[in-house]
Amino acid sequence: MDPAQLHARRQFRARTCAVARTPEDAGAHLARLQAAVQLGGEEPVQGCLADLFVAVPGEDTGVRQAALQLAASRLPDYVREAFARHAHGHLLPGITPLATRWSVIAQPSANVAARVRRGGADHSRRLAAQVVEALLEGDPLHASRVERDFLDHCLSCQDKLAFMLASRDLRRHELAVGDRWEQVAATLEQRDLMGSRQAANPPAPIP
Amino acid sequence: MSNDTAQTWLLPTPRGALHAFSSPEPSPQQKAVQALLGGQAAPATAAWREQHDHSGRMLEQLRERQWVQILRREVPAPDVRLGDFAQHVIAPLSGERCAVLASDSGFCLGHSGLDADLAETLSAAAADYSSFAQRQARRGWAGASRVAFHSDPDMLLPDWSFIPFWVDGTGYWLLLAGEPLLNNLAMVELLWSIRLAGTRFAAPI
Repeated sequence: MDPAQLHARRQFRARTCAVARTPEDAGAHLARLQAAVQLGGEEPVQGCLADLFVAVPGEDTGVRQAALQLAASRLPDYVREAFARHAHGHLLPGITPLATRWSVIAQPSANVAARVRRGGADHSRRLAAQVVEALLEGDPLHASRVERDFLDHCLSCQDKLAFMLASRDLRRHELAVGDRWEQVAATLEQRDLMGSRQAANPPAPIP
Repeated sequence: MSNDTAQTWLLPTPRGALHAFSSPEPSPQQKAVQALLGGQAAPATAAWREQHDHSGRMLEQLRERQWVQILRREVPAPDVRLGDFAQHVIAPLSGERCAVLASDSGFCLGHSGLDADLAETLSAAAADYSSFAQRQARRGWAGASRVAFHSDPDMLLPDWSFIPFWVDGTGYWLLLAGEPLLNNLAMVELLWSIRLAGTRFAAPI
């Protein structure tokens, strides 16, 4: 493993332990957030921010705003806006859709689409990049195995995000794909009919 | 009935699910949480309370510990073939996306991110550790349960973590490379799918 990446993971791990020991220590949360920024992906940063917003007392709005500013560039717009709504004192519930698998205080809410319950956005992006790379590289045996695993994943986890990202990149490279991609697209579309209606009308949070 | 339970459904949180399935002989409270993952969808709160909350306090106690979540919409169970499903759902539980699901007798039931030979070797190691843990428990020390193996001298970042759980009397091990990311709804989905699969998922004898 890349030594810099290993160092970043170790730093993050140490600071996560510190936050778990003293959940109300705003300084520990900010140090952990800085370590999370050094890691790849958006999930560690989002998970740290959710922990801070749940654990640090609500009146400490300066810390929340500073943390959000520190993390902002690594978060999608809709996630950043969701945190911003809680940056001025409204406590985030302990079970929240904003928590990720990297959170240690906040717990992820099941009030989300199946894809989010079964894997995060970073995982989806990584799998999409892997299948595109394999199909472009040209080793047919390897590509076939990676492609099969990828489409199985999309179906099992209803991972429309990974499927959409991979399809878009393959189109961009003008690479033709087999019939199974169309079948998977149709299945995901069918399953998404229910899920997207739920996601578009999220229920009111229960404290 | 409180307003909270009208037109609502229940599911365990990741911590609640880990607690509920952490013992070969679950307590009544653990069984009540396990029951949330017994059907094709999250149970309606009222129906669950009628069957499992005879004291009228169980739901409040579980919510205080954040072991269950009240939902305002029904969540369907995983509806996929379990062999495939396990393989895909265990990867996000590992910081390195390398994970194995094994029976406590040493069979590899699913793996992701590593080759089959290593997955089988680790499954056998889990079976050995399972015997060790049972032997210690018989001697009076129940502390040999979850375990992490390190190669770094300060024991900060585990190479592998072994996490046992029991579903309907059958023991399983999750073997996770790097950071174990168990605060994860994928864990709930995995436990749910194993429960629904029942004997179909039992290890060969």
